[in-house]
Amino acid sequence: MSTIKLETSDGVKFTVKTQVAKCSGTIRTMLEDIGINPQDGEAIPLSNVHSTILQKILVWAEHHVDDPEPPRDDADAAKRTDDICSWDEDFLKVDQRTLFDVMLAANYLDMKQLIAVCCKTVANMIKGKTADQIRKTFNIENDFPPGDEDKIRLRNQFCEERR
Amino acid sequence: MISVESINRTETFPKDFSTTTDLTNSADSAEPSYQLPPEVWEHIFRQLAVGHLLAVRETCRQFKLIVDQSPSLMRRFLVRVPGNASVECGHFRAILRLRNLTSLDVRRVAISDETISKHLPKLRNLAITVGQVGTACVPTFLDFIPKLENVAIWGTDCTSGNLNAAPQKQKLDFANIKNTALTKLQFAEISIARSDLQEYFTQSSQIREVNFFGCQFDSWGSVFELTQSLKSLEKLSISTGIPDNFIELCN
Repeated sequence: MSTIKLETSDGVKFTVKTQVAKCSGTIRTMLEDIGINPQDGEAIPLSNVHSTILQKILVWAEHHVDDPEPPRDDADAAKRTDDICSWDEDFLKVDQRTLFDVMLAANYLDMKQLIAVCCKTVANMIKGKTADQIRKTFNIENDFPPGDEDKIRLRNQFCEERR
Repeated sequence: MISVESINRTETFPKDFSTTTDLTNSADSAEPSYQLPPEVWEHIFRQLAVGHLLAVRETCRQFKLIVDQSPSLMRRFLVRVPGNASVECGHFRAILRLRNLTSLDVRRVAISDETISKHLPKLRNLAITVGQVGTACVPTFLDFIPKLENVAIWGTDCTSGNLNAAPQKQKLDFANIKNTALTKLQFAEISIARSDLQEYFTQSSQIREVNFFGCQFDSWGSVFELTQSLKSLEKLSISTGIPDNFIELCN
């Protein structure tokens, strides 16, 4: 079975099935377009990914390696976020920092399906919350000058869909 | 979970590193941690419906900027039509396809009033920024949208960073407006003379709520004389600018 080596930012080397590694668009491009030959035994450097996060991402990739390509959908429509499979839900039951690190790494590695499921998870953390609760959830500082926020809120009230 | 053949430990792999459960405690969640790139946040926000997006916009400058700069998010609830844009404006075209749209927030619409009523028959809430124009703004669009209930007319756009009130406020002229179905009216950063609204308010028995934010009146007495003719008025809010300083008057 074909395997390749990946080296993380902290110098940890992983030997991974090529098929699993190709869940990453970035690695796929390296292998197919740039022509990096993994048979040389050279590890592909992933300088933006820590070993703890790569380990986690590989668990995900291993589980989803045989998933079919998702259909392209309308980027403008609000999407469902209640269709996360239970395996992914359990997989993403991590602290926020880890979740964000996984997203950053998935973004760097160009793993669209993993990004999508992470985004849904974060979207679910936002849904139904007020601006103040969102700030608390993500530890965000309110950096609007006093007064601006009121104006934005006032104006927003008119956009709200009233049923 | 991980099959042994998929990830083999190499010499450098830490010895005690074996299961995924270790990973959940790998970071301190108390640290500020919203350092995701804007495009990832945008992706997240794309999963949200209008109501949730509005809360996101109120959260902080960065989030507001991400929402406001994303065409696909903005067209959910807000259309940015530049002041002198013509009908060809791509965003507006997109909005006109949303026949079930009930709320719309636009800058001065350089598009015919008939077009709005024809394409957006269900519009009930309209916020419009009329901006600075030389002559008084005649909101004829009100007559073309029969289902309209809530209308906000803003003289300056306070949501795009232009938060300083313009030195000269936009004038409005309601003299020939026939739509008397409105229940809520909001005026912001507008110059209001009694004669501009008198006739309209006399006919508009359904108006329940009127807000004046940072408006300039020819005289303060006008406000009360004007609103006296509104028989159904339940709430009148007047503020001199920042809406902290509401004077709320209830019947």
